[in-house]
Amino acid sequence: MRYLILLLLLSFQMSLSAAVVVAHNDVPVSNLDESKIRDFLLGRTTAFANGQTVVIVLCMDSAADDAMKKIVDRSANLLLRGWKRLVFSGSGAMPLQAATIQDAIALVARTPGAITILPLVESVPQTCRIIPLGGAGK
Amino acid sequence: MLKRSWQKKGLFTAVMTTVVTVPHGAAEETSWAEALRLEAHGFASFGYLQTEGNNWLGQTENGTSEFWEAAANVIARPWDHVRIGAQIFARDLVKYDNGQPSLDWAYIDYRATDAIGVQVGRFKLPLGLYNEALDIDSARASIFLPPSVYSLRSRDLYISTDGAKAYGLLDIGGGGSLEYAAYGGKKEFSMDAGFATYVSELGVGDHVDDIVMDWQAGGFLHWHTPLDGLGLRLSGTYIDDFTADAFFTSSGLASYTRADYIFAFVSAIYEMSEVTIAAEYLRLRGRGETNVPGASLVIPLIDNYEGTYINTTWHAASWLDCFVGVEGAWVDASDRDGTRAYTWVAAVNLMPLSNWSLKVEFRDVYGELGINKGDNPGGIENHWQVLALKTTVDF
Repeated sequence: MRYLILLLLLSFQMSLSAAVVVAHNDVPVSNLDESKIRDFLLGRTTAFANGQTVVIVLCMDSAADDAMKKIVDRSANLLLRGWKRLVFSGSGAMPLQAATIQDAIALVARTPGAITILPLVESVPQTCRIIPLGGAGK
Repeated sequence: MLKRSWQKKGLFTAVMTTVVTVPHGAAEETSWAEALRLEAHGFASFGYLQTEGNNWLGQTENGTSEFWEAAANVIARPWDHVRIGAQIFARDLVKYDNGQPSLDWAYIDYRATDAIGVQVGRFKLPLGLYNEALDIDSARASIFLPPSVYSLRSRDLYISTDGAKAYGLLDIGGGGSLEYAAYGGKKEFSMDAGFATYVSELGVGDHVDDIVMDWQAGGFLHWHTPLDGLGLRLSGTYIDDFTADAFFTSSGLASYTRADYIFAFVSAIYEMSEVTIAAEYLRLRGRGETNVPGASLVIPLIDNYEGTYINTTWHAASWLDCFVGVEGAWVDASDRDGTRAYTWVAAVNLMPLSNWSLKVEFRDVYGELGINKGDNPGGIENHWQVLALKTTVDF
């Protein structure tokens, strides 16, 4: 019963946040605060604390867009424009792109170091996991 | 000058040789391209310009399609912390550049931590908010970055340098974060590029033999404030001993111009989910002289240019941006009634696909600043307009 209540509370919190980070299993963090996610998505930082390169997967699906806006206050298209600025000015490498939520999950599942922002998802493949968002937000 | 330009392309070859031959510790079944995390990107923009009242950047009153840019790059990430890349760029801006390809950037980048990274090679100068993205049409809603701050004709002077740059991001806790860069380098200029054309228009001589600088240094400090989306930036560069040697074909007289320059930018940007507001101020200070020994003439060079703008982009939909802005520019900051230009701008950006845009921009200009007398032998109108169309595809 206790575990059921805990599961319900966790589901409630996740639905409140309406955005989750799906990460490849080799991503060396157990939680991420929104400011850190923002820095990754905007290309300000390119590696985790242990130096492993972050691979961003941008999901261009409209449902993922809402999740993205909750974290960085920008749509995926606007983020992509920012990344093009970095790539063509020699300041970064392009994130991977996925057309649908399922494609984004599949891409993360096979790409070491990959993370993506999605709306609440029910399950993910064994090679990736959902990382809770926490800590300092906007 | 062409020979020197092509020698610089040896830097591109060296970078690519390093990318191809240095192994990455990857499993046998991984291709070499995957092991290097190799990626290639490019863009091509094609446009049309027509002006009313004055010719601008060349012959534009009858309309011109001599208005395009293209770039192609290769980027590799052979190890964690390391990125290597190079990009070739070409543009035709009516009578400037005329499609002359150049090595836009080529570097080795090592990002040790968030706080410190180093880039060595040819890199774009981080001046103002948008100098590094000067040529990237897909990065903005408008066709032109404000010429009051980002000069179209002297692009070569401050677009890049060959040297080294240190950069990073510093978390200051509740105070937001600070992004910074500091660099030093020097640059050689191609006599086939648009900047040489522009220098000759400044009156130093109708044939330019050589343009060089001794060295340059600069940097920026950008404060990502605690108010999400609001950023404030200070940036600048110092150019030491900029020289231009030229001669007048009619008289055979040679001229030698020497000057030191400082560019200082103050910038602010507020990025919200649907609206971006940007404002910048540029103050330029140049001091030197032009010496025409054959005529025993020494003309002081005093450059006090000042420019500013504020603009707003409304990201109305994923496929539509609307843009408006106002600009002001003065050839002499101490004489605001002298040669100047005030401009209001409106633009629309349609994006049928994420990698394809169609833009239209209208500029209404009051003032003569930016107009070349040689392009307008019948006289210069004080009130003139620009209509620009552009389409860009990138991959």
